[in-house]
Amino acid sequence: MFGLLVWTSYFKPMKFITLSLLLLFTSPLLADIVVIGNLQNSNPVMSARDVQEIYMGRKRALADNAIAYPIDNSDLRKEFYRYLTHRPIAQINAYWARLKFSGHRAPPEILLDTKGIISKVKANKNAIAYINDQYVEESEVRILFVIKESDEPYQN
Amino acid sequence: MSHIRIKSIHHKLVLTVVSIMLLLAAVTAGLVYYYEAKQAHDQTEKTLNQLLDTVSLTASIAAYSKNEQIAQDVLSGLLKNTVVQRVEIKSDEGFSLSQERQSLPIGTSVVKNLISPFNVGEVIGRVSLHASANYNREKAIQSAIFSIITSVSLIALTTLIILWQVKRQVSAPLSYVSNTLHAIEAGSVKRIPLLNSHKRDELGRLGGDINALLDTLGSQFDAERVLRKKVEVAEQQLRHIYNSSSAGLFVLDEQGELLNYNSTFTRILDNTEQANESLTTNDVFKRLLSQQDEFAILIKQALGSYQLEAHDFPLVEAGRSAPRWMHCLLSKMVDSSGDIVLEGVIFDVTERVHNEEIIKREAHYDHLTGMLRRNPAKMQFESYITNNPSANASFLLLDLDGFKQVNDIYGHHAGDQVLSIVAERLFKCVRASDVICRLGGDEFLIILMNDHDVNLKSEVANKILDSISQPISLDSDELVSVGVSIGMTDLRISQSTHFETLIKDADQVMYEVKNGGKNSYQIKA
Repeated sequence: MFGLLVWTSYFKPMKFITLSLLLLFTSPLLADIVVIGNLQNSNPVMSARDVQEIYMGRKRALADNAIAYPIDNSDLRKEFYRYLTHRPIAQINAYWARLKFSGHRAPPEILLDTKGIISKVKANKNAIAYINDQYVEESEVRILFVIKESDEPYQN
Repeated sequence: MSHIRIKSIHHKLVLTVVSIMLLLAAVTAGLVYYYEAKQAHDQTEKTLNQLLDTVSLTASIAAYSKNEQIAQDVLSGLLKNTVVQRVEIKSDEGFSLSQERQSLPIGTSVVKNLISPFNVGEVIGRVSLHASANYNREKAIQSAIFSIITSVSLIALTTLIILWQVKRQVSAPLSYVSNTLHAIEAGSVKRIPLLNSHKRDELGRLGGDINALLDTLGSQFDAERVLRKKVEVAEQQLRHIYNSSSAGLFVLDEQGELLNYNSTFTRILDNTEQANESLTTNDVFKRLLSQQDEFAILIKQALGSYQLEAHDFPLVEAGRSAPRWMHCLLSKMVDSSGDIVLEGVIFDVTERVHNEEIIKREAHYDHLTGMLRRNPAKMQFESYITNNPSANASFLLLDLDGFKQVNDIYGHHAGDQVLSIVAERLFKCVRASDVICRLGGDEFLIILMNDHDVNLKSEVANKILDSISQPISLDSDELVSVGVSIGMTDLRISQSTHFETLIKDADQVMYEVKNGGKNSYQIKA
């Protein structure tokens, strides 16, 4: 349901933004978020900690030593990071700003549409992304990790 | 008064106070240094912790993302603070970096764990900050020096003020009183002048008390001088009495050693040994009296009783036939020091004893014959029998034959002469221990003491008969002759110890001899 609203607002943003916000706050129903990878990605299923370390730049390589290519989904970014780090987006941005200033590391690329994300994952063997579970086709991508909408934020 | 060089009380006080002051300052400095060093350490630790808090988030991010560039920035930032000597930062899964200002000894150190910025409680690294050891020490030394300067100046100032006041109010007046008193001789009329500014305090009272004591001392000196004079006079008088006494006075200790004596005592004893000048009075006394068992007994008696004990002693002296007699009185006394002594008095009683001897002799002895009279003879016999109950004794009763005729023809004087010569002859026939007694007229009694020999009576009787029958030459050149009739008995024969009974028995036998032809002897059957 949440996914659908986001989806609609994506296509008609100006018209639906009020409605979507209204629905967002009146309806607590949230869809599950699925972390996906290329079908050729032969690494074992990831843990929440693995996902956090890859997305926060602590780890760059996957289990098979290939350099991971994480992609941020602008629609789900807030929920995704809240689950992973317990922190608001502003702090995540500030964190990356510091790292960027040191010139060593760049934050994950932020993509705006789910189709684009899926095609990027299909095209890059080391790509990792997260999308609403209703768009997942298991013939196209491999499911690496699932965040249930009822899950409490990750805490190691 | 002593003339030892005395140390000034004030100088001693100054020395003591200054020493204590320096000691106090040193202790204070030590304490301040110790306290300040601790304070500096705590302060440094606090500063280091605050610095760590400031950079902890950035350091955590550096450690989490393993970003050495950020870590280096953190290190240089920290090192800009002057407290910091050395910094280390370590990421558990990545780098380990450190920066240092100079290679100096490390003082205070602080270590802080780096927590993951995203996972609460997960330790991902460590930061340590080290301060220079000199930093704390310099701070402490500075504080200590400041404290020493402050405390020494304060204490010194206070001390000087107190010492000045003590000198003005106590030491100086005390020295004045002491020196003045030192110069005053005991018994003199000089006194300590009263100090105006101390009239109402302890020093004023001290001066007053000293003056009062000096007054008392002076009057006591005078009183004692008068008393001593009196005692001297009394002593001289007593000594005069003691020395001029007609009695010999002396004092003995418990062992009989001569302790003291007067001149009369010496004179009495010296009479006895004037020839020997080298002997002291003590020697003479001891030699004369140590021979006397009775004197030892007298000392024992005197020590054992509280009464005056008296005895007469003969002093046997070389070159003098008759002894001189001393009457001696002894009494036990306890002298002033608690020792037991014997006080004695001796008188020369030779004259008196001599007179007594004469009187005694006249009472006991027949003047003409020198024989015992009847009663003394009886007493001698009875005392002998009492002392020797088992002894025997023989009684010889003698009566002269033909004495009455001599008396009638030649007169009483011739009679007396015969009696005297007969007595002389009888004395020669018996032992000194036997008793010869004139019963009266021409009748005699001879008691042979301790006569156990059965034949002794007859032997003595024969001797007597032979001796008496020898002619007697009178003053008128005429020769006369007498005989003797002897009746004899002894205690065994008469079976009695009664003097009169024994005489009666001997008398009866003697009459039997008279009746039977005279000039013979007979023993009671």
